[in-house]
Amino acid sequence: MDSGDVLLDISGVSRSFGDVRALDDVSIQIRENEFFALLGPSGCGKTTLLRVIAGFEQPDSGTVTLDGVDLLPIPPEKRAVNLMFQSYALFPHMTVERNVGYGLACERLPRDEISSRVDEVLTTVGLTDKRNALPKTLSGGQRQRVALARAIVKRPRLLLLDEPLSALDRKIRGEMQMELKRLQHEVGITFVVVTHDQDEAMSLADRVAVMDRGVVRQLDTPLDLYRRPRSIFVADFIGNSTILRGRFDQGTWIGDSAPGLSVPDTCRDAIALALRPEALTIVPTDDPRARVRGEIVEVFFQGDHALAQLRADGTVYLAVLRDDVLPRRGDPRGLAWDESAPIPLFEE
Amino acid sequence: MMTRALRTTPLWILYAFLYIPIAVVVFMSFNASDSPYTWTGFSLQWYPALLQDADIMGGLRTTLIVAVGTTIISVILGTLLAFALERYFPSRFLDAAAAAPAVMPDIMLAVGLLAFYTLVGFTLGPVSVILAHSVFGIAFVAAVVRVRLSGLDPSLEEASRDLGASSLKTFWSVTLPGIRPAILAGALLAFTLSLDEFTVAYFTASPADPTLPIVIYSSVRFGVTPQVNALATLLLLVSFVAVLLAQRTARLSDSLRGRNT
Repeated sequence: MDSGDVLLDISGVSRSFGDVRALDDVSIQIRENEFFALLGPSGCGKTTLLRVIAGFEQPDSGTVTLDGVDLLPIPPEKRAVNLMFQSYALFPHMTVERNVGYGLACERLPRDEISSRVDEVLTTVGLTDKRNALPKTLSGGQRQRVALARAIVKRPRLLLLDEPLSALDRKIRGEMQMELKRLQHEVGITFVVVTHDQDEAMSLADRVAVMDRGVVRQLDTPLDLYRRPRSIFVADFIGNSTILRGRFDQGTWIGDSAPGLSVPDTCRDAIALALRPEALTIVPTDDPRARVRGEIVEVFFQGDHALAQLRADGTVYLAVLRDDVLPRRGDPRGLAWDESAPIPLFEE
Repeated sequence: MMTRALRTTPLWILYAFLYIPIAVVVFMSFNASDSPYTWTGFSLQWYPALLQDADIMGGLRTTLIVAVGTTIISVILGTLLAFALERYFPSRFLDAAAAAPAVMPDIMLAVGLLAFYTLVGFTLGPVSVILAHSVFGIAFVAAVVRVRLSGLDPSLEEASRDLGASSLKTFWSVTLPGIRPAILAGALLAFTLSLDEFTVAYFTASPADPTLPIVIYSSVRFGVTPQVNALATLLLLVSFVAVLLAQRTARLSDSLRGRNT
């Protein structure tokens, strides 16, 4: 670890369900006060890992420690870890106040301490006027705040969030994203969020572990994941990119298509190249900078920019267009990019 | 308008089919005549007469004892059975075996129970009827509670554990409130089923302590008395209230649960 203390140490954790290896030798270290994301498609094992940390699932092998203490023999109700459920799991027969105070009541705290801490946390999430409301009368965003309040009121060492924003509609999602980030700074709790949404992970987290079929494929900051994906899976999963499979041969890339692309030596051991859309420039076919030539397949207008698909030698490239005049389907065009633009990928 | 009337006609015919026998009983309970078949004028005399009838009052007492006992046993054991089947022993065979007493022909159950009681030398009385009624009461409660239990969001219980509650506290403050409407509905079901059950009670009750349906049966063998009509009307009122209560609790709980939780 280069900085910060390790709070949660997951080491060599495996878990199988029948023939399916949900977690395959997973090792992750999460630091104090970090906002960490477990990102991957459904079935990648991220939820199983979350349930292992919360205590609802026991791994077949491996260790999990929190503050250096073995977490696995401790039952979920005794762990200094709280989980915000994807469904929020608010108790339907209890008011907001009783939902939030539930965890404190379990600790048998005095009544006035419970009520002052509930007050405090309801103020933090901005729901003081809803204290006597039943969950069913709240909007989706409000329910989420209650669930969040209920999970942080116990001041856990670690807060787990299972797909926290997936049940919200697009507009509220953006607001809640900022809210979560603000809260994490404010309450100073380490957050681990599980999500299948790469935008969510990239915009929230300090570091992201990308998982696929029970394995951590890459663990990095969002920026490094985007700029330096190591595998085809990560390059494909995070952001858009055009993948060129092939092999390196004396400074040129021999691919299924576009033979003879010149590439730097960093691509020596790569099994594929990734090209980010913003690194590609669409140019007229007679432009000397054009590395490949083809025709426009489709143009997607995005507001501040547009994305264009261009087919050349059987490969469909995706490029960002910043011109005011958009090309039309079927127009012949060339593609130019910097020598350093291709990202070498070393794994499937 | 015309077509709407036409469309609803079959519905009214069907309801008439369902309720004419009941209406006749209610109507005849206000008959002044001694004969149950001829109307001579309006009278309320048969209602106070009921209270004077020692057989009927004795039968009512026994029936209430049996129904309450059956309800208590059915609710406790039926709920436990529902938990076992839903949470711990998922098996199609056990499922079917749990539901069978509810659909089994009463006469079969009655004969079997009588044979069993005789075999083990069990004295017939209210207790033997309670145990007999509990056989199907448990099956009904288990079926109703089970449906509710399977619809309960499992993360509610996990959330409770996560927030520091023991399994007992979780059951008490999260699971039980979640299935309470089903337990109430199951209790009402067991109670009303036991209240008017005849066949099984006829075989398993002691002749000295018959339940109300048996008393009624004995008294109408020689013709329906107007008193029985009055009694039937009162029982009808009780079951009607029970059904309304069951519907109300179900609705209340649904609105409490909300749609998204």
